[in-house]
Amino acid sequence: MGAATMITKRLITTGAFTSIFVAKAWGSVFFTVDVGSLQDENGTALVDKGMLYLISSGADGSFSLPTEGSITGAGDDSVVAAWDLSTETSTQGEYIVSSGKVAYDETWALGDDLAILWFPNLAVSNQSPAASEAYGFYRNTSVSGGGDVWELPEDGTLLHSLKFFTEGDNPLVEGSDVPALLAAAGLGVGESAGPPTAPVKVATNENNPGTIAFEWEGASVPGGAYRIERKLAGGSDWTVLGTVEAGETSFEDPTVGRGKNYEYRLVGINGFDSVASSEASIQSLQSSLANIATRGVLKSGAEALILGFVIKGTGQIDILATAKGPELANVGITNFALDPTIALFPFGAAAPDVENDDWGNTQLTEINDFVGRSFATNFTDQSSKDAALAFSPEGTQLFTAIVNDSGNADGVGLVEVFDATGTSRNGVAPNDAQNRLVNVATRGFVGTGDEVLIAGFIVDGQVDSKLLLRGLGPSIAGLTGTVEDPTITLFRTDFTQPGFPQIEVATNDNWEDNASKVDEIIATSRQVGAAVLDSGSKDSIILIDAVPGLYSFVMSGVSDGTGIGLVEVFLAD
Amino acid sequence: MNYTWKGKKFLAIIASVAAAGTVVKAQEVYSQIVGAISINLPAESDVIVSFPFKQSAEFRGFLDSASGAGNLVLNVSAESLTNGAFDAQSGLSTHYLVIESGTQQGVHIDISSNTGSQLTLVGGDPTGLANGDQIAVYPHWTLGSAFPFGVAKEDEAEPGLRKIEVIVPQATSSAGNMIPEGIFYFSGGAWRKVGAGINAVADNSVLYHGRAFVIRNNGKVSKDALFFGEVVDAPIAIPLSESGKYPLNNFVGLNRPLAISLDELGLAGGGVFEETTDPTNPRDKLLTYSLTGAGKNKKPVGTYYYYNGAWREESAGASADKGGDLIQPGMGLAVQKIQVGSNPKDSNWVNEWELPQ
Repeated sequence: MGAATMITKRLITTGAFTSIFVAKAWGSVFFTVDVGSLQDENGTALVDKGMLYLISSGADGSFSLPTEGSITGAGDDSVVAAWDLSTETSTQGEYIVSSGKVAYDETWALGDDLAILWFPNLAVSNQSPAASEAYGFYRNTSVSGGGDVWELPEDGTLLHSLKFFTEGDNPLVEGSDVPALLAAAGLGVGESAGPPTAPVKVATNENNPGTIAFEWEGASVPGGAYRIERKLAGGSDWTVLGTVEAGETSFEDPTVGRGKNYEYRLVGINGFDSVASSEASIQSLQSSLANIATRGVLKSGAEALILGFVIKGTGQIDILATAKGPELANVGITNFALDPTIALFPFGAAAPDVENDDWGNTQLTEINDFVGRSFATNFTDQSSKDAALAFSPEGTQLFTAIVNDSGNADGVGLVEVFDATGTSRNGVAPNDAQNRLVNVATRGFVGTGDEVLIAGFIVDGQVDSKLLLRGLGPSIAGLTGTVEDPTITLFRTDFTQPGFPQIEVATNDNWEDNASKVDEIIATSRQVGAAVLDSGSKDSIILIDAVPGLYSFVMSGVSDGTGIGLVEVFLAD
Repeated sequence: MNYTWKGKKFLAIIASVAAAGTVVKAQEVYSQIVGAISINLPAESDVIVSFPFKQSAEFRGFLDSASGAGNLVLNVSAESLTNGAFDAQSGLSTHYLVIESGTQQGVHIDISSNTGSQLTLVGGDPTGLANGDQIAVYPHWTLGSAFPFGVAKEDEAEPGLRKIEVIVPQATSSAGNMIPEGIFYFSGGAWRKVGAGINAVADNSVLYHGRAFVIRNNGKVSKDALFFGEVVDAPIAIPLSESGKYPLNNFVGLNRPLAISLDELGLAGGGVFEETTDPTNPRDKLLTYSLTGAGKNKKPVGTYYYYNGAWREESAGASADKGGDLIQPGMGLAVQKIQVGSNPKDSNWVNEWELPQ
């Protein structure tokens, strides 16, 4: 019996659910095959033409490829059912292919693998493939897609449903992670085909900061595509980033977060099987807040200059805190605070953990060491009345530094906090798990002219950092005398121009002024643990992806209003 | 709603019943008895069911005369039919006739067409029909009338990944197992048929009287299917076929709203169901399918034969009387008629039953 004759004998005329028994009169299986977006060899939707075959692998457990003149090739594969697609109802190639009962052939066995083959250019009247005849092949090995397993079911099965849906718009399903390329009749009779092979090498880099390049060598996926997947180290859920064609050897991922430990893998998928590569790990770049500095008038009581900061993560972090007064004379400030003091309070503590009046008295070695490992500048006079602390807390903690002037002269002071851990990390920014500065804030008096509240900070690294900057007045709880209507403006020092001018980056008066950003501001506030402001409040917020650099932002009152203000910087990513 | 003077009482029948009726003062008038049954559909499972209720009759009258061989033609006693009201649509009957009195009481036959005074049926036998026999015409249940919002109100967002499918099998099967005649799903506010295109409406697809069908829940959570309609408390005649070539399974269901024991079926002892004389070689069989068990492509949970004056179940042995085993309302059944030597014929299994008072 010739192959073509045998196939015709088993052809199911689907519309009327008729069938032809070829073997046991008592056994049958009823199949449905739902397929989406079958295509021809040119990627065009297969509408009203072509043949679709359901194939059993037979006892040898593997599928033979079609050969010239034979749908099932040289092995023991056999056609379970066949459909003439010119008679099937479809919507632009999206088929729900019905079926009929299929007599259970004695050559079949429970568990034999099933696959579908489609030949765009064959018809009922011609089921003999020519050399290089275009065809598509698919078998589901992962038992996904919502249907039954792609194996011959038990004799007598009422309904066995097979599903094949690929990515892309499809009225039959809402989504799929099967590459769209698999819908095409991408194989040719007589040509080499088979399961994908895994790459011999995978690698990642972030040579272009903010974009991770994933590269592979030595993979193959005949008639299929590669799916690129990513997950966080230690996690179990792979995210599909995209699909690339068989000839590609790299993929760029611009969707990386900052400081994340990622794992990437390549999954080769074609109609025969899917094969995953080994994993390539990388920690994405992250910038960090290297310092915060606030200049203001050192008053007393509620109007003292207060600086708070949060460290988050595991391990130790080296912190240098300074309160400068007399040192400011070297930069031309004459009304400096005469004798600043600094006291550091852990969150909720009534007494400071550490405090200092004159920096050179107690921690000279440590302070000089930390200065050398941070963006801090050296003190010019070991006997000056400026204050400083060097300490190394561990774990997530919140600190408040209160700076007064023991001279009570209401002079100008500069309070700074530095992350001095940089060199001990070999210059690599901390990842999400490692201890780092994530929030800094200062509270002080917002005056006018030279006495506006100014905060400065450094974003250190190679990639942007998402920052939430807030200037609060009305929303400061528990205090009277707050500035009623603050405004904030962010500047970045441009070191590429002569004189290093400060370029205005962003400004904001009332935090809801930019309606298109309100939702993101609220979401980011919740992410970083900042209280969401009341709608209608006159406080100020800037949400920005900040490039690495030196920043300052100025908080002042609208119409020269004055009062107590709070400026905050949150590192969101 | 039809009303009757026969004193039928308004009755709430089964759990999760929704009942409605009308009582007119001064005269005691009762509606037909209505009821509802909720059948659980376990996750990733088939449930083989039959519709336990009927719809309201659209005509009641009396037979004047019957004639014709092969396809009966009935003349009704008064010209009270609406011409063409019961004509088949696209070759499929939309209504069936029930003979409610006389020697063929309980027999139901599909209608192919009608005039103002005449009904033409699909098949039927005039033997025993007599002037004055009471007749009624009922609409077939369709998917649209039985489940107007889908089974368990499941409207498929993804027609390719159907959570609920209704599989209507062929009436009989020589292969021993059910063979789907149509697979349906509810999507976009209408019933659709697999293979007919995702936009073709199949609301009028018929769930034939007395036939079993399958509801397949492909989803990960169980659902409940609600059946609602009028109680059939008159005799029911269920046609059974046999074959000269092989044993033939007849997939049927009883339109009864309460559980009935095997001894109350009226299946054995009337000559319709061939009794077993040698329990090692059972003759006709009654197959039952679990309403509650999980799993797809279900096999029968009970295989009964009638031997030595009692129902026996294959796994329980020939000495155990299983006549008290219950057929639950809505349960699908198969009556397996053994291969006959020659002259296979159709016969009617008549079930008589009265609603407990």
